[in-house]
Amino acid sequence: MSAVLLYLLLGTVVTVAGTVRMLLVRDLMARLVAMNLVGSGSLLILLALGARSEETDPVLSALVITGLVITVAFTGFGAVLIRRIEEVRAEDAAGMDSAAPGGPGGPGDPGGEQR
Amino acid sequence: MGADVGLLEVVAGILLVGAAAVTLWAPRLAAAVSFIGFGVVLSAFWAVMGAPDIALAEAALGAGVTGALFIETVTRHDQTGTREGPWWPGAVAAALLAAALVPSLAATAAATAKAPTADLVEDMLPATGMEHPVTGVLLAFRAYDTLLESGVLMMAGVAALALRREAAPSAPLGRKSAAAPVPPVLSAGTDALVWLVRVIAPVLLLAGLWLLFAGSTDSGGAFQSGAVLAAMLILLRVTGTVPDWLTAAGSDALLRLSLVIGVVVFIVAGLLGPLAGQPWLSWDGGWAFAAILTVEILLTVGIAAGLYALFISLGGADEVVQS
Repeated sequence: MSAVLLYLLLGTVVTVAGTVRMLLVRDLMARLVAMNLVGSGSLLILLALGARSEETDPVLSALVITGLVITVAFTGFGAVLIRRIEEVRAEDAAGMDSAAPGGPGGPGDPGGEQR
Repeated sequence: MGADVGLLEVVAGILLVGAAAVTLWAPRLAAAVSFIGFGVVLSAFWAVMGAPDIALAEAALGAGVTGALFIETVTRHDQTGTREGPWWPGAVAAALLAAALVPSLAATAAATAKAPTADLVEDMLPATGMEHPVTGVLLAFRAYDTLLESGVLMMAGVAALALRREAAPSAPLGRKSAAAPVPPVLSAGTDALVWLVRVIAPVLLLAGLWLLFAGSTDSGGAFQSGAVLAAMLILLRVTGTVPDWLTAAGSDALLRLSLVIGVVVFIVAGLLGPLAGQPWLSWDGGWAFAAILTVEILLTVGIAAGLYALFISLGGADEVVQS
């Protein structure tokens, strides 16, 4: 087995596992983490293809760096959004608590089903 | 790179897959910590694959700054309620995806091709005044992509700052949310951490600047450098050792200026080409190196500011140390 094949295999495993987890998990934070792993795995595939020749392709290297920067940008913004969403949910839950003793998890839990 | 797989690569591969599995299926805090480990292993892979630039970027951006963002998110929320669905849709989807990907990739890998672009880059590189091919590609040959990518980071920083501002009109620097109480992130061993950060912050500053100027001849460049500088700022902020001029009233204006200056100067420098009768975003002749270096320095400032803006928008760490 050549080294490039191993890199491709690893990239595929990480991408597939990340994609499946991203599509199926309900926790927003886990979804963001999984999205990062999908990115890492696909970049691994990309550079593995660039590493087939004697010298690693500088154009693909630059493209992978671009991908990393875009990833951190959307991750940071996504984390800020998650923070705001969960603050609102916590406030809603607190409001429900004081209004109805049933509290979150009861039949009237507003955010529960959309998670 | 047609070398056979050694024992080291197999072990590193097992580590990588293991770290990915823990990152994907562990609870929030463990996942965030494991993500950093995944980034470290992955950056070792980039280095082995002959791409030290990507290894530096992965270590600083992927493992470092993204890891800090994840840790900051999970330590401020104690919501670990992940409700799991049935397992079989995931297994079926994984099998289908793998069945589609693996054969085509294996076929591609078998066709070992000489990358045609590598020769082109080699031929054209002297015209840019740069000696390192990756930096030449990023700032000269694919300058448009780099400009847009800096724009994406800038927009993310601006949007994050806007969300933060709307949430806290009365408290400009961090805030305490009534709904989500702040756990003591730095309860034990804070003194040692503060001491450590005081010692390594100048080293990080030096390393960041070195990465910036090394980029023209060797591995490094604006993105790696900006990430290291942003990491330094994040560490200073988390430990409460930020210098006064960064926490003063004018610091928000300074942050906003730094955030946009890289992209603005990039666009202005791109307009120099049409003035000299050349295409947009093309640098040629004797001033190519000077223009690229100016753009790269200010781009670094913008990248560091953008990453730092994303971090502080998650909520100030100021009050944690004081409490």
